[in-house]
Amino acid sequence: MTDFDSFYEQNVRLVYAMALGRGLNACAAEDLSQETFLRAWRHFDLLRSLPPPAQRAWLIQTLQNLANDTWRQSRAATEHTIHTDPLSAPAESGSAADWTLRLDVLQALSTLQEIDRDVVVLRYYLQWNSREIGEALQLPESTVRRRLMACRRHLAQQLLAWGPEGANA
Amino acid sequence: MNDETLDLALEGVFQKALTPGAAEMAAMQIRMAARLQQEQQDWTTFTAVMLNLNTCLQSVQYCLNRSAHLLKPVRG
Repeated sequence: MTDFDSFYEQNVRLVYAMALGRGLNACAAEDLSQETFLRAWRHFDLLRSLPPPAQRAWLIQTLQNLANDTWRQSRAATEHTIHTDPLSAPAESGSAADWTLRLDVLQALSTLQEIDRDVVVLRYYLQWNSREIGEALQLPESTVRRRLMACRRHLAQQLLAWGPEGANA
Repeated sequence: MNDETLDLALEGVFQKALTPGAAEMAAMQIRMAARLQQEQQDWTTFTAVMLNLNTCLQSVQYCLNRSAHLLKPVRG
């Protein structure tokens, strides 16, 4: 169990952020993260033998599969998106500005293709480089760079008001 | 604004927006631990049921073997 605890601590930010990046509210993102780690726990004998990049790729793939299954099982999944669910707020009481920032980021992400959301979350939230992102998402490094280039300007237009020099900072 | 500056600015925005608070993380960890404990209990219960079932089957098999032995016609 101790091994699994440290595995959880090393990867929980990754899994939770990827779930949020899919447009889920905080509760649904936590449920999806929990389900992903439950699968990891069931397969931990295999997972612990893998190197960390392969472990992360496994987690991301599992999360994607679970998210797709959930979506297929319930078309009502759209109710969980940030557009309709007022309970999307962070679980703890953050400031209104923090909450609005999260909404704006999730809104900006929702305008991207699914694969681009994953790339962007890994790059800008977890600060992975193109090689690490490529390994995790099983994409060529050049594809990651190309996708990032396309997303960068698009995101900047929507989010830079929140940047250090922005009006909302 | 060049790409490098944009990247830095976006990193700051994403970090601030998506980083869960300490309380949020702690609550998630507690709920995860409870879920794993439940999973372990389910597995223990399942294993216990299977062991009992196995014991029952062995008993039935023993009885059948004994019955077959007793019912075997005696030659001679």
